[in-house]
Amino acid sequence: MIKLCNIYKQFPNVQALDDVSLQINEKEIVCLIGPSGSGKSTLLRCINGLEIPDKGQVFIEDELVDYKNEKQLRALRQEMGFVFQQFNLFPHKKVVENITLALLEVLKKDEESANSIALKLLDRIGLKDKANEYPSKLSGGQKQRVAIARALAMNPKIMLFDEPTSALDPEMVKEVLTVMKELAHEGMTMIVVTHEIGFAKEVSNRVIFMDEGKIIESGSPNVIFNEPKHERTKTFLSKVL
Amino acid sequence: MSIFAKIITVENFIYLIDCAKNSLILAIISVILGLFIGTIVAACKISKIRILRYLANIYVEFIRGTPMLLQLLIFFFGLPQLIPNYASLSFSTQVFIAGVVGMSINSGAYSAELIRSGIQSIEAGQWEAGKSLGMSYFKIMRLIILPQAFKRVIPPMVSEFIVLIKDSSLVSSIGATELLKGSQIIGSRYYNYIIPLFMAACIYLIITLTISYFAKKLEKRFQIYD
Repeated sequence: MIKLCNIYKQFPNVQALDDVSLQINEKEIVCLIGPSGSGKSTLLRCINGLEIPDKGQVFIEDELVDYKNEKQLRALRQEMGFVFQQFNLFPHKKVVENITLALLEVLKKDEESANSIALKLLDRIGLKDKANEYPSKLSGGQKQRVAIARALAMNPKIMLFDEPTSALDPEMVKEVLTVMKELAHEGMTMIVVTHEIGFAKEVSNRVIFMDEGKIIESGSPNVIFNEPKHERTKTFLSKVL
Repeated sequence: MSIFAKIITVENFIYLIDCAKNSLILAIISVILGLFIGTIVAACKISKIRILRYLANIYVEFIRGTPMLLQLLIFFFGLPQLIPNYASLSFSTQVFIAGVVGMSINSGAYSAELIRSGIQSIEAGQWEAGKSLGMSYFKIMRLIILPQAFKRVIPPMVSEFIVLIKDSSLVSSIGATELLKGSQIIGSRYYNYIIPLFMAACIYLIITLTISYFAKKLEKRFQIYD
């Protein structure tokens, strides 16, 4: 479904991605773990063009991504949901409008069907009663659930999560992970950058450990967490587990 | 009868309020046109196209670096050269057009800076969220960035509007009968300028304080989503 071939990305003073190749199949749930600055988020952002790789190729459903082609990028992004660490809800729009905005403006749905999609999703994440509130009235966990609903409204084929629980207070992590687990059970393809080792263990099919812009090790959660082969993976896990 | 009672009459106040209308009309039209110009220039300033940035910078620096009175005079004397048949318009229309054009272009430069800083104060995450939903640059700008930027720009834009009301007095120097000029006309009638000038000051203050008051209310209304 997604294929990355020899991706390089350089930031000032950091080689964020250093020859990364990776393939993600349909219905797979992949967790990217690793120390901060290891390139996990950059990798995720390259997939939907929020970052442009310096070198290398990205294929999405066998289609080569041309990062200069805005139209193609927009079309691809419509099929990929992206959930940010900082939620990035639109503060001037009510909760329901956050979800309907792209439905109306990008997918050109009519007001009525956009609203019904939004309310259905809000019901599903348990926030129907917040539909007419502004995001500032929500807790962090609620905001992130709305952000997930906003991405899901576009009916994406794949969901990308960039540390979705890192900005949350501990007591709100669970509600967000629950929504994500439900998604996983429904067969959504997901790539999740996370520090939630428990989630990775329980939900993912594959765990990828990255460090210094490289994929160090990749395998089933069982293998990565119980019998890591690389020294760096062991050191990292010994710190977080 | 004391000099105060002679000058501070209902008729004179009505005359001054009539003149103040001209000041207000000049300022209102200019702030609206200035907002429009400012938005476009702000978009040029943050554009990826270098020539647009370059032109926008020249415009802003020129306007901010020269006196408004000079700019008004340039338009007053320059417009008849530029536009055919301009001279056949009535004098008051000529003055009005030169005044509006000069003040709008002046206000555009200041507004451009305010709007640019407003746009750039919106977090990068808002752009990214829009992009991730497949929205185009213009949609993100129009639906997500500008509404939030304008909200942040309201307080400085109100100050800009108040400055324009006060600066509309400069248009009297090219022949407009606005509030300041009106007070001088009254002054010349009684050989006393101080009292009419204070009367004009009162009217300026009433206008500007009223605007500040409503601006605060407007700001509060926009705060519902903070």
